[in-house]
Amino acid sequence: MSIDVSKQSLRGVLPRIEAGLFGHRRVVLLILALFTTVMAWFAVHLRMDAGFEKQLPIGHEYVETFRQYRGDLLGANRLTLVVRAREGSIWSEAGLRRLYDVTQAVTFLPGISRSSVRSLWTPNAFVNEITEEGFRADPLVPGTVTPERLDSATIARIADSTAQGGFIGTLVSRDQRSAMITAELNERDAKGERLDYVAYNRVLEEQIRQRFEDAQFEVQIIGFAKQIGDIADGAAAVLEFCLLALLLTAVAVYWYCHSLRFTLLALGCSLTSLVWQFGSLRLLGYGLDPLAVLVPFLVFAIGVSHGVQQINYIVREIAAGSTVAVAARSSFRGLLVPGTLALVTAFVSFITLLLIPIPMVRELAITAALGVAFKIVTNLVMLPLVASMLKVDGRYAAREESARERRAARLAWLAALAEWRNARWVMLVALLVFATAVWQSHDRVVGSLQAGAPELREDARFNRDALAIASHYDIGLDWLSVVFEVQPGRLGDAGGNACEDVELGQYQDRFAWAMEGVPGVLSVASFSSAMRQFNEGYNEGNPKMSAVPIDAMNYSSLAAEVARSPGLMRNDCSMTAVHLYLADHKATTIGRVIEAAKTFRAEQPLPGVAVRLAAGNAGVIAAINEEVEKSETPMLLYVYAAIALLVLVVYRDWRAVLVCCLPLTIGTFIGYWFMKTLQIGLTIATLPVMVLAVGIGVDYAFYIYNRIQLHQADGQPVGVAVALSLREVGMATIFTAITLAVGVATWAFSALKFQADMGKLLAFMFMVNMVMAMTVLPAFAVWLERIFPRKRPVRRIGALAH
Amino acid sequence: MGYLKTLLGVTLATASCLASALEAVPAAPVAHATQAMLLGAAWAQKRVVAVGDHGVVLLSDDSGRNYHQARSVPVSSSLTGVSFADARHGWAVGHWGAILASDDGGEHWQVQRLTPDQDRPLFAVHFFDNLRGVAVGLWSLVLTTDDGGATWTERNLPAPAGAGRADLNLMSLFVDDRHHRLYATAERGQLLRSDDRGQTWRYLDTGYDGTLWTGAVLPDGGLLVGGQRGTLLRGTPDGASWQRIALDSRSSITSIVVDGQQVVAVGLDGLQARSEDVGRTFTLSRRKDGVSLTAALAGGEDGPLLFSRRGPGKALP
Repeated sequence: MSIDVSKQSLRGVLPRIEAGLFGHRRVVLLILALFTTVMAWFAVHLRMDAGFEKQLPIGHEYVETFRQYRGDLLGANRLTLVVRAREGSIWSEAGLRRLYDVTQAVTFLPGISRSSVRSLWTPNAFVNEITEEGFRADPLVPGTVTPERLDSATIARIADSTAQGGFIGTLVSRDQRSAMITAELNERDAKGERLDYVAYNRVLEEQIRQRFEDAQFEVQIIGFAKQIGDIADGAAAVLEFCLLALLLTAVAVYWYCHSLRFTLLALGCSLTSLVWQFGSLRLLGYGLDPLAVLVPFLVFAIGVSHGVQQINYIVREIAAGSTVAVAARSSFRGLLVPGTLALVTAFVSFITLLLIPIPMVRELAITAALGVAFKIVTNLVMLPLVASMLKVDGRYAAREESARERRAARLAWLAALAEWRNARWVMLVALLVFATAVWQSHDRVVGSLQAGAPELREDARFNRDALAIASHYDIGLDWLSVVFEVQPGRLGDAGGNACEDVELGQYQDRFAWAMEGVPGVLSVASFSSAMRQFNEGYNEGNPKMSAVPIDAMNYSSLAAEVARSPGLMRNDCSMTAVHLYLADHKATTIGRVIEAAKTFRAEQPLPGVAVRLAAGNAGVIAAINEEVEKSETPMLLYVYAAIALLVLVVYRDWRAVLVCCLPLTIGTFIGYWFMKTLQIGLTIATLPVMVLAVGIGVDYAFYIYNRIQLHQADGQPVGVAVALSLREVGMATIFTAITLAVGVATWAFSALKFQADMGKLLAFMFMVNMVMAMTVLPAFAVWLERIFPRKRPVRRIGALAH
Repeated sequence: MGYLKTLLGVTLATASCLASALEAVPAAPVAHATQAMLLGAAWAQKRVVAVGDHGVVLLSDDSGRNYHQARSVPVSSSLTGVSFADARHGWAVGHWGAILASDDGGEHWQVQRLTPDQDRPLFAVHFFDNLRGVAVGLWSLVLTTDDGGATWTERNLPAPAGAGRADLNLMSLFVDDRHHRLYATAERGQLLRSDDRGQTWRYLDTGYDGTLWTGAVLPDGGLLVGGQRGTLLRGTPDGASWQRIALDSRSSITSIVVDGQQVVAVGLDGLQARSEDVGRTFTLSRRKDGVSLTAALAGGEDGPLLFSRRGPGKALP
């Protein structure tokens, strides 16, 4: 049935490599074993590692603004803690004392910028009291009050000043049951050591939550450090899913080949490359990022898929009468081209991720690309080498071959689909599905769709805390900071004072008013709005005086007052900020607000004043979204270009390019449709999946097309070639896709939402690409041959044999 | 206000060294105009005209149920007061010393006066007919016109008792139609009265220390003025003797209106107080959301129309 490639003489590099490897297989395997041991030693030292900085796109306008002014603005790397009384209000002795204790504990946590800590108990929270006599600034809690000496009169006074100072909704919740503590976190300490977020999360849990949360009080904690820490905790659990996937895969492979040896061989080779990958991660100085933790297992999955193809080939050869050694050699030879093609495509897919200028994604790209490169050695070389040394009894092979034939017979209908009368209909249906998918996937969402931390599930503690805080405080969790920068030229050569630039105040005031009307903006806090508040305050709180002063002296003295509150300006007024608090961080919300700000900037420019977007966590998210959105199409185009180029070089036939790419394109768009239907946004977690889906999806196409091409080169008409190919590799391909899909589908139960999304998406993509390769590809091949008949016979692959 | 005044004094004296070339920017037509803080309101016969922050002018032809933004307002600074002489002719005043006029019922406005080089806002305006009007503001600024605002004359006030010169801020105007008297509420508990449509004024001392933000003439001819921290003072018709009215609130009173026999005072933090006995006693209520009420206008279908820091409010229940 099968064509015995081993009997065909091939000149050139390939046979020589083959001879070299199989001639010295013991030495080669020993070297590989040694290498594996060394890498394993490094691999066990691999740790989880996360970073805030790593997520910031390099060179993006928004991130530049964020970096330049992070010291002057509310940082995006901020911790927010809330002490909430389970019963009654926070205005009790116990409540204020607990708040004091937590404030103290937070202040002395490592990595905290001490002066940034703010709560009722810190001196930077003061109230401007307006009386008939004038205007007074007092700390919210008078200096004479200590937590040991609280009485109801004092507490009532503090509650009073808090209300008067306008801190209800900022330092104390609107329902007055909880109080807030905010603090900025420094990613690097004085010695330049990076903060270990994963460890930091444990510090937060142990030193804050466990110590201060009890039956009376709840401690809610949010912020990047908490978020990434919780993600890392969830990611650690991914190991269980991966073990489960491993087990499922093992069972499936065994069910398929009925041989423990081959099962262990396929898994073992895949695991070996995983060990190498972990080892090289460690050698490169990287850690395992929680957001990228699935990638190694993705690479593992790719490996299994190639392993199954190898075993399929070997068993087929043995059944055809070859010895194990010969079968392994011919499998090596027969699959080196499609296997390398497939892996190189996956490699290129990962490499294209480098296009996204986000360090975390680049790290992922490099490690994943390495992993795939290792696969070429472990699956295409090591596996057949080891296989050639196994002992397989002939009856096994015969039994297997007959089982395989039985199974393949069930696929006869697939071959029938590729017959001309059916192929036309398959093509028509495919085109209809394609058109629907393109239409349905229109306006896909970029970024996350859910409020709270999108990586975590809705009912995760972090998201529950975030929701509770967002609903009880005015300050949203998501904010966008727009920076007004006075250019040196504006002040003139006389050395004018930016703090007397009354025109700027008016300009910013108009901007703030324009932004207040943008849907999704909950509230605006700006230098100009603070000026208004102070002006009103200095005028007995009269709303008629809520205006930004236009007198330079008055303006500059109020600016000096504003400079006392953190996060609104630089002391020399060269930079003043507008913070826009948003309802959520959905990409559409942020996009709308940014668009409105850009429109204002373009339509009403003020000479010498740069309106710069956009700091704040929403600014960072916007920058990431923009980069992801911008990179997606070029990345996919590069991947397709790489596939086309490789196919063209290997097969020297434009039909091959079309036959391999078209089913893949349909699959990609069906994937988009799936994403839109399941509300999975395009993020830095799902973008690699989509790109990879192409890179992996093409494997099936390669394995099937390679056989079709081979049979055609042997002079078979295309219809027969397709039928033979489907019988030979169809079952293996279907089996691989199902196995991989079941494996990754287990991620759907992950505690991390993005893993669940990736799992669902990936499982779906495996299946879609398989279906496309089994139906559309053969039909399309037949159709193409019919429409554009060949003038010359199909040539034997020789690209690697020259 | 001493602090601000010292600064202003210094600045005005040294004639603002960094004389800015501030130019008025027309108010932007925005969908969220009804979210702007409104500081003054008037009837243009059947139409409600409310003015406020960001040059927002809102018009309602159904007694305050629905509002739309005026078509063109030449400034985007804050407007603090408005007065209409008839259905078409109206004036609005505000920051930047702005006086705007409309002759089409408030849809379009023109600048009559603007002083962007001086930070001297006007706080109130009153027109007796479509020619004669008075505007008052910061630091005893009094302007009068008898040609519909084509020319404005600055009137010098006499110094209040015990002071060297007239420097009190004049926060609001209210009128006694029966006697053609105009009152201006001022700082240091002073109420000013003019019997000649704003040309000359005399001081009435209420004995209060703080600033009087608003006032009204009661149906029985008595006077009621409101100030900071829940201060309400009831005076005899001649303003000679005053009595403090107990109001259990520390929120300042921003507006007092007489609506038939009912007297209503509103204020910061959602304060609402109503009197059914000609302003002798008040029952206090508070808007649930605590949003400051900034203006009130008598004559709504269900009692006075209220205006807040966040746009038009609901009428008093």
